Amino acid sequence: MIISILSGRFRLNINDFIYFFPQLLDYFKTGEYATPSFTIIFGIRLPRIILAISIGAALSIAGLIFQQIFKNPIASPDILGVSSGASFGAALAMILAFNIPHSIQLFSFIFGLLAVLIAYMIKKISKNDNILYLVLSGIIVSAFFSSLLSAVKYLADPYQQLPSIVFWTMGGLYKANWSNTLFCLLLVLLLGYIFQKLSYKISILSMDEDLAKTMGINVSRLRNSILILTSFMVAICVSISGVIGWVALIIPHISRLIFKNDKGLTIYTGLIGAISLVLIDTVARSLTPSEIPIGILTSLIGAPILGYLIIVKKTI
Amino acid sequence: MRCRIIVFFFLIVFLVFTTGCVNNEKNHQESEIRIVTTYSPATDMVLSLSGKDNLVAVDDNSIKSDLLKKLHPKHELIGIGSKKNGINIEQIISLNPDVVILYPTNDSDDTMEQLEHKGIKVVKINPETMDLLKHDIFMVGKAIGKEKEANELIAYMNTKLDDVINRVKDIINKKNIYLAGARGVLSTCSGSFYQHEIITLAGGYDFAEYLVGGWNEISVEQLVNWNPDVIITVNYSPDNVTSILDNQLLSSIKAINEGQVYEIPSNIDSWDLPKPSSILGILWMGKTLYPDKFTDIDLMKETNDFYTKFYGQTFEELGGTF
Repeated sequence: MIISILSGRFRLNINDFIYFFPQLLDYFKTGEYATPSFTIIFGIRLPRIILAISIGAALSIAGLIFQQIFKNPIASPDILGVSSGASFGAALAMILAFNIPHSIQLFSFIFGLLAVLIAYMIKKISKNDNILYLVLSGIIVSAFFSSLLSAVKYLADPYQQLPSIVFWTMGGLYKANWSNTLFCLLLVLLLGYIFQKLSYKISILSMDEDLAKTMGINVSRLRNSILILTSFMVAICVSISGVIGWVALIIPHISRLIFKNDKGLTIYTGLIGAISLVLIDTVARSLTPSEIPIGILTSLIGAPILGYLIIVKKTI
Repeated sequence: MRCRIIVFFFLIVFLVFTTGCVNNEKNHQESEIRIVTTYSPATDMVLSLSGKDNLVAVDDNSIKSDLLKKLHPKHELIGIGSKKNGINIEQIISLNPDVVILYPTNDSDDTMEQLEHKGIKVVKINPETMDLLKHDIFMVGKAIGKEKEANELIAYMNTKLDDVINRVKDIINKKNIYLAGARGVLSTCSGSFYQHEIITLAGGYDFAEYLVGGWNEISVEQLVNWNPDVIITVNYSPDNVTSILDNQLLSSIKAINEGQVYEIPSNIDSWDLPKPSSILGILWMGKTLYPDKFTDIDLMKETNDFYTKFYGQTFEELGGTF
């Protein structure tokens, strides 16, 4: 976090940090940013770092839960169509240009969650309790929303809307401000606590359904509740940051590699995810004058790591 | 059964071929050049060379152009696609054009080949610098039989350009400019965009000159770090002068503190795009950055003159305002 605070396109010196707290007090009194350096530290870097922590932790924990419940090492929240639904929602809000504040986030969240619910409905209609049917439903929903996204891109104007849609779907934390950061942080802390409390039940679900049933657990209801709650958390994150791939897939593997099946695995996974995303975002905002979409960096880093885990470590 | 299948197969083949057939019947006088544009700067060039009556189809973006609606209120032009979504060649050929003006993309060579194979003259334009813009105006003029008009337009542009360059050439402390682009205050043009050329010709220093690609997304931090003297926003951005001035995170920037935030005119046209009216964009930019060097320039008069000369009506008659 300290490295990230110190890194960026704007050069800070020691005095900026010495005067930071007096300026912070002034800010709470007047509501105005006193100096450019205070604007950079308090107005731009801090909320962005905290947002990276929240979203990194949320995506990693979501990935861990999905991999456990689906008993599949390459499962991630995208499997139920949350990302493609959210992308379509955001793109739709961009071309319809509503005069509602935060309409992009709102649409993205609604459609992200809607995609997951449709996947559940398809599975329910199929009347098959096998989790594989949920995966298949997710694939159907993802494909459907991806084609809707393509249709929206086709209709978008080439100067403003299309580049905005493309940039959004590549992910980025450039929209960080104190209100969405604190909202995201509180949500992740609350849900992280719930998932930590449920970690024992989730680990039972990941082993044997029959065993879980004999222990008096309603497997189907518990599994669906956890997946819906996790998808809700991911939909919130995606609506703020756009699609950030690979974090949910890779971080749980790294975490399991280090901590095996420790009791605090959920917490540790969240921590590693948070640190990773803060570091990657620091590169995204510092390396060039332009913002590098963070999704590009997570894919660039994530793909070789997955290859390493498969080929060298043989953990997958 | 086999016989039925064969008959059915031939029926399908027949249907495919007949529905693809186009009407090649000429329904216009031979002397009248029929033009199709596939790219909005091309449409603008044709309009500025008094070619509005020769247009038979334009790209989907030009259909929505305010300037085209004002100049050609009763037009029945067809939209034939766009640079982004591709163009419908079959639709173009069915209109029996004499000249098609194409944009430069990877697939435009194939399109060019197909159209030339049908005996249609094709002009490809890519006016991303002032020199290229003048070259393309000449090429288009030559192709549509409006060479005289093209030469007049180029001469006018050269005169105005020389005037602006002469007025700003002795400025030692050039103002640092940040151009807020199509996606809001944090998007800016790269050094290879025409907007960069406008800033440079008007005597400004463009921060984004070493950026590459199209519209670049930058961070607030980068903008605060650049600390521009002047912020210019395009008129098709979701941000405007008020929203930029009200953005608290930008409050420490010199341009914001000194109220040096401006929007490129106008309400019927965008003067920052690579088209003839961009000469007014350069003139406006010079006067905005260095008003003391342009005291004798009446921008509204210049604008009315330009539109009258090349579009047949004054700027104000077309409903134009700054």
